Amino acid sequence: MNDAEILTMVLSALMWQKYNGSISLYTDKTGYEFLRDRELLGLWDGGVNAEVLETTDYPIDAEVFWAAGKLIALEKQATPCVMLDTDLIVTRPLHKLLKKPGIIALHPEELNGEAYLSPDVLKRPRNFSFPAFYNWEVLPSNTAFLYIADEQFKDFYVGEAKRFMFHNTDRPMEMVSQMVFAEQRLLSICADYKKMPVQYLLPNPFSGINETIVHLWGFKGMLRRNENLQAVYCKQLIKTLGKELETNRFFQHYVQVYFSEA
Amino acid sequence: MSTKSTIAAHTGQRVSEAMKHFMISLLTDAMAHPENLESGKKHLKVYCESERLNYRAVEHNLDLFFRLLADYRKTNSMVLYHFLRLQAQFCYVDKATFDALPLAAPNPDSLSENQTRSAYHTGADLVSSDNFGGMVGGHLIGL
Repeated sequence: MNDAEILTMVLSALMWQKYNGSISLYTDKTGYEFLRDRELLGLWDGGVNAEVLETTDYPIDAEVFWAAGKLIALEKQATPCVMLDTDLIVTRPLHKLLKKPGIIALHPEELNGEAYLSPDVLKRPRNFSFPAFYNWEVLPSNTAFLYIADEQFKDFYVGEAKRFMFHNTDRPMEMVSQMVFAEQRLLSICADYKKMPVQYLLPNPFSGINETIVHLWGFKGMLRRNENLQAVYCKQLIKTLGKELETNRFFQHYVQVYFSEA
Repeated sequence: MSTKSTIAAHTGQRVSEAMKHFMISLLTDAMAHPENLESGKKHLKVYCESERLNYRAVEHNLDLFFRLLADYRKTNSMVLYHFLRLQAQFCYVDKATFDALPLAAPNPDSLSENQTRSAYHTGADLVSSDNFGGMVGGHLIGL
C-alpha cells in the first residue's frame, strides 16, 4: 500500500466512526504486522481481527479469489452488518438507511462481458453445475459497501460463493472474472432468488447526486504509477476531509508523522 | 507544534495580494524558462519571511507542482491537469488564474486511455468518460 491508499484507509475508518459508529478490521498476519509497524492498529475502535483469516483453512485459490477473505469475514460477522472496503470513505451518516431490513450495496454494475463472463465460460470446480434458479440477467452489485440485515440471506449468499470457489482450481485468462462473479454477481443473483431486491447507495458510480461516497476504485491504478499524483491526492484529502477530523487525536498524530511538510 | 495546526497547515493560509501576484509570476516564468526557478526561489524566501510563511513548505509545494507539470507535459492527461490545478492552489494560484497560465490544453481522449480493459473492484484501471481516472465522488474532495 502506498501513502495515498493508507491515508484513504485511515480516513475510511475514522470517518465511519465519526458518522456511523464502531468499526472493526479483518486482516491476515501480514496485514496485521503491516499495521502494527505503522502504529495503525488503534485505528479501528472495534479491534483488528487476524484470527479468522489465519485460522480458516478453506480450499480456495487465493490468487484467483483474491477477495475471498471478505466473504470469509462476512461469514463470521453477525448481522446486521456493513462490509466496507478500506478504499471507500463514507462522509455522511447512514443511520436511517441502516435501520431498514434488506440489502444495500454501493451501486449496480453493468453486465460488461469482459468482467462478467457467461456461465459457459466461467471456470468451475469438478462436478459443479450452476443451479437452474440463477438469473443471469440481473445486474451485479458493487460490494465495496455492503449492508446485510438478514442472517439467513447472508449465509445463503456466502454458501453459494463458497460452493463456487471451493476446489475451483482452473486458471482463467485474467484474475478478475472469477472473483467478481463469486462476490458481486452472485450477491445480486442470490438476492433475486430470495426476492430481496438490492438497494443502492448510488444509482450509478459517477452519479451527480453523490454527497456521501468517496471510493478510490480504479483510480488506485493511476496513483500506483505516479508518486507526484499520490502526493497531491494526499494533500487534497487532508485539506478537504481532514478538516472534519481536526480534533481527532489519532488523525492529528498520523498527519504529523507522515505528512508534516516543515 | 499543536496537532490542530498540523491539519490547518494543509488547509491553506491566507496570503497578501502581492504574494499571490509574485507566485503567479514565478509559475508563469518558470513554466516557460525552468532554469529561472532556482533564482525565483531566492525572492520567494523574502516573500515568505515577510508573510510569515514556512519557506520549506512553500518550496515543497512549488517543487511538487513542477514535477507534476513535467508528468502532465508527457501525456496531456485530463486527470493530471485536474490535479495540477489543485496543486496550483497550494501555491496560492486560484483555479481561474491557473486556467489562464500558458499550458497546453488537456486531451479529452486521455480519459479513455485506460479503458481498454474493464476491471471492477480490483484497483486496476477503470475509467469512465465523466470521472477522474476511476475515482467515485472526486467532487467531494475538490476535483
